[in-house]
Amino acid sequence: MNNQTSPAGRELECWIAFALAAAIVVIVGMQAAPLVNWDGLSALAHAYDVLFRDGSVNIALLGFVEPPASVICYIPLVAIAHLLGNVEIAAVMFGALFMGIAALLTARLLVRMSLPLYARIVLLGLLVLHPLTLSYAALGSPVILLLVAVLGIMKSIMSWSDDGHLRDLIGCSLYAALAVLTRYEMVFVVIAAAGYIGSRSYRGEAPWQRIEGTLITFLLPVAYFSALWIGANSIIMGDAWYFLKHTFGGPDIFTQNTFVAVVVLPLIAFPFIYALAYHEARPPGPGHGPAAVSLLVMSAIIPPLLIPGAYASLGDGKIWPALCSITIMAVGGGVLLAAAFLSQYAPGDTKLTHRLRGTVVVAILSVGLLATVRVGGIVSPPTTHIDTLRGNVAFGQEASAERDLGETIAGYLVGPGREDNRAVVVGWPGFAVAFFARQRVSPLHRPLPAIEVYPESRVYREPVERLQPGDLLVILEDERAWASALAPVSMTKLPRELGSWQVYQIRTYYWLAP
Amino acid sequence: MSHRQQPDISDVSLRVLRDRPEECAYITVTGPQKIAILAALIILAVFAALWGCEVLVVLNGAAMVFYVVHSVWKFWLVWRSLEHKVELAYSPEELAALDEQTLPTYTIQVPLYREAEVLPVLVECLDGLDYPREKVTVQLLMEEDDVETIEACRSLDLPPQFEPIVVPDSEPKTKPKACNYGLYQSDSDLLVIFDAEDRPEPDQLKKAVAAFRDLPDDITILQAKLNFYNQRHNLLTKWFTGEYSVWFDLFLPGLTAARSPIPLGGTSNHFKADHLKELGGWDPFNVTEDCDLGIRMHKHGHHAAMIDSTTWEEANGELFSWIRQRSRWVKGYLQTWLVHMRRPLQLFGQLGARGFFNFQMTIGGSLLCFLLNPVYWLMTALWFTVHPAFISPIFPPVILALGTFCLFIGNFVFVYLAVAGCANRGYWDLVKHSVLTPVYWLLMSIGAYKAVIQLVHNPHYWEKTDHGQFGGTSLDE
Repeated sequence: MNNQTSPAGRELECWIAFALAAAIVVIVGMQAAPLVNWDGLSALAHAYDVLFRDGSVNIALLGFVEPPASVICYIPLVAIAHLLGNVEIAAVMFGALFMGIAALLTARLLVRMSLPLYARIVLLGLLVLHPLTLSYAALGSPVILLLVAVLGIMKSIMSWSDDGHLRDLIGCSLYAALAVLTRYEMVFVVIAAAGYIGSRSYRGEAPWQRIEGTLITFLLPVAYFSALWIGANSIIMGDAWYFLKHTFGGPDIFTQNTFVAVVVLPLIAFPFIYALAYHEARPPGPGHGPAAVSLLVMSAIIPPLLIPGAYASLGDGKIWPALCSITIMAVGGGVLLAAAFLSQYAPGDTKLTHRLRGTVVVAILSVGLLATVRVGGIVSPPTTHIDTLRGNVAFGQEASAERDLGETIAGYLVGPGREDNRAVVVGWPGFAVAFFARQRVSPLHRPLPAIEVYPESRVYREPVERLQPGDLLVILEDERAWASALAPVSMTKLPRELGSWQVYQIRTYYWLAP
Repeated sequence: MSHRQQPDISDVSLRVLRDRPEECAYITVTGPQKIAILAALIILAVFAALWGCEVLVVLNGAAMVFYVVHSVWKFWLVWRSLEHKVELAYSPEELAALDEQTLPTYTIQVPLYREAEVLPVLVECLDGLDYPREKVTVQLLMEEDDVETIEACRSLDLPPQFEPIVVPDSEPKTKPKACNYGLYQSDSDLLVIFDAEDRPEPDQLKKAVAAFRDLPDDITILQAKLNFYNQRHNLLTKWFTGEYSVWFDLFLPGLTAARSPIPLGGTSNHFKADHLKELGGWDPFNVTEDCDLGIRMHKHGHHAAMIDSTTWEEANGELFSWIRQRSRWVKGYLQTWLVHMRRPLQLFGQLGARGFFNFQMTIGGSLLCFLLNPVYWLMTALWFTVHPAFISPIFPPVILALGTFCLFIGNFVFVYLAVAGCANRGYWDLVKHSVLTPVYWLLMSIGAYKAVIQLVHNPHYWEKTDHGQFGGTSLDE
């Protein structure tokens, strides 16, 4: 196909990109099958709880620690996977679907830019086969949903900058709402987008009215769905800001040098991201759209430099999970900026030499910085390209211990005379243990066994107060932190011990009032 | 006054009734329909007596499914309009290139009743239309008992293309009856309706001509967009403007793109006159004769398209007057739905599956929304305040999920559509008022319930809207 193809042909090409991207994710995901991504598994497990835990749909179980968008998107996929007999394949389905959508969005933009076919193939390949994005997709991580939101925002804002069509503004606003409810720190990108849209709206008659109306149109979905989420936290959890307290409640210090990590991670994700952002942001640019993308990419990178503690708590101090939003912005933005760059120049274009001087300088500096950092081993990349294609995906963890523990719990709960007994799981990843336990039991028994999960050890009293004789208590963290809380409880340690995790059966229980 | 051969008023009044009684609203609810409604009510009563809660669950579930489908459907049609410009647009250069010698003849109908105040400005506006005067006839249709307007007309020095016509006094005293009277005195190729307070864009007639020439022959109706020149008079006119902006700029274009019957607006409908005459003109017994005509013409193979031209009207900014106007519109929609649903299978065959579905959603669906909304608003308010015991049993998990979707997503969709309508028109200062649209919906529902009551007691009564109440005739900037 070439740029002379009919609209139907171009649309078909975009859907072929969708199908191929989804197929690649399925192939890699099936190879990576023993591995899990904890964020993805958490979303999957919560979606499972919403559908099946109480014997009927209970949306209140979608969980209020992680952002809700991924859980909501997982719900229909988990329902389908359940019908197919293997709930865990919902992770691959999730990754395939949203990688496909990401490819579809990108393909449509590349076609609109009238890039030659080989350039479209290369850029789409860069997006789909990138070790980071493919890793996230293969394991069903919510980050692949973030990629879709990011590409949607960027594509829409590029189109809106050029044509001013209302549909692009609305599209951008809906993607922005999706982004904020996928990763909360995307609020900074949305603020930057609002600033850009507002500045571009200052024109014509009554410019301030135009800005007001445009920004209301753009921000209304973000504000509304955010308010819904806050309201849900208030009604169901009794605390409107419960989600923020638990999302940002972890360690607030990075394990590695913050400044270096924040500056270098985008380069690892897309080596020429700064050069491309510089090239498109300089006036006089041929188009405003790519400048907006440059702005959005930088708006994701700057906040972690200003408030590193907030970002560190997102990933328990680990660089890659905490800063995944800026790596995704770099990949998504990098592909779109590369496309914009290529669309500006024909071979032999005399403008090339003049406009590229500064860009080349930034590119050389980027390569130098990257080489220095990698030589110094300051920031470790998650995986290589070949590893990813072989199914050894980044951010994948073995979950065999959790599966075994789930089987232990399941075996206990389905024992004779224990139908009314419960398991109480405290610590991380309790959601995974509960999920695997329910998977073991669900084909055999209805309803599902009662398993309560408490995500972290900052709250001791509530789970201990709820213990009853016969309950199974599973502590997935340092027992010593629970010693005083469990002092009044008479427990028997079960013989099966998995790693450092303790499994206790409650014999008697009484609560000493403080 | 006109010296053409005057048609028999009773003939033109009753032509639809005489020739197509099955499509006339003279009888609002036919015998078989009454039997069907009664039977349904009896069955419902029996089921309710036997399985009360289950019946409520089923009805509630059906309502939730309807709301979800309606929300998605409307958003989809609006999105189609946003994705691709559907209405036909012509540049000034293209219009200037039209050979005026070959332009068709045009009749402009303006039904008037107690419009003496706006008459001078109306004449000035229509005289300013960009169309050869010798090819235009402007019929000023006045009722025989409207002495004030007739005298005002006589006192004006009317340009030669204007033709005052006095409609003999007869029942029903409605706008469509007057239009029919003028229709059968017209021998023009094309015909358009304007209201007394209308300010069509000067090039609208030429745009319609160009569109008719470019479109297939089955397109015999063109609908221009309507909007208001007193948009910012008060909060009610701002909401009204938002509603019109969505309806004419975004929703109807999406509907025409789906090749579905559209409820025509009461003005700025351009017709190929012969086809209109074949069908007997408007139904004088339907108080939204425009809506009915759009459906009826589509049934008989005549389809509609939209043109990118605006007629500026006066928005009703007085609350009780607005409610009366809205109640007439809703009553007319009810009449239209009942008339065309007399033979549902035949209607399905005439409209096709997509057209039938869109008819149900547009006419029946709008009605159902107006009538159901207050019920669910009340239930929601009760649930969040006093948690009455009767609500939980009728919302089992799946229906609760659908209800939650409708409450939080469906309502947002409709508010956002109002915002989009204002933004699409560039009414940026009205965007913030559109966020308060749910209050406007309450007014719509009040009008709807009034309409239902009036349909029973006085189905053909025409609630006349007074014009010239809200400011001048220039566009409100």
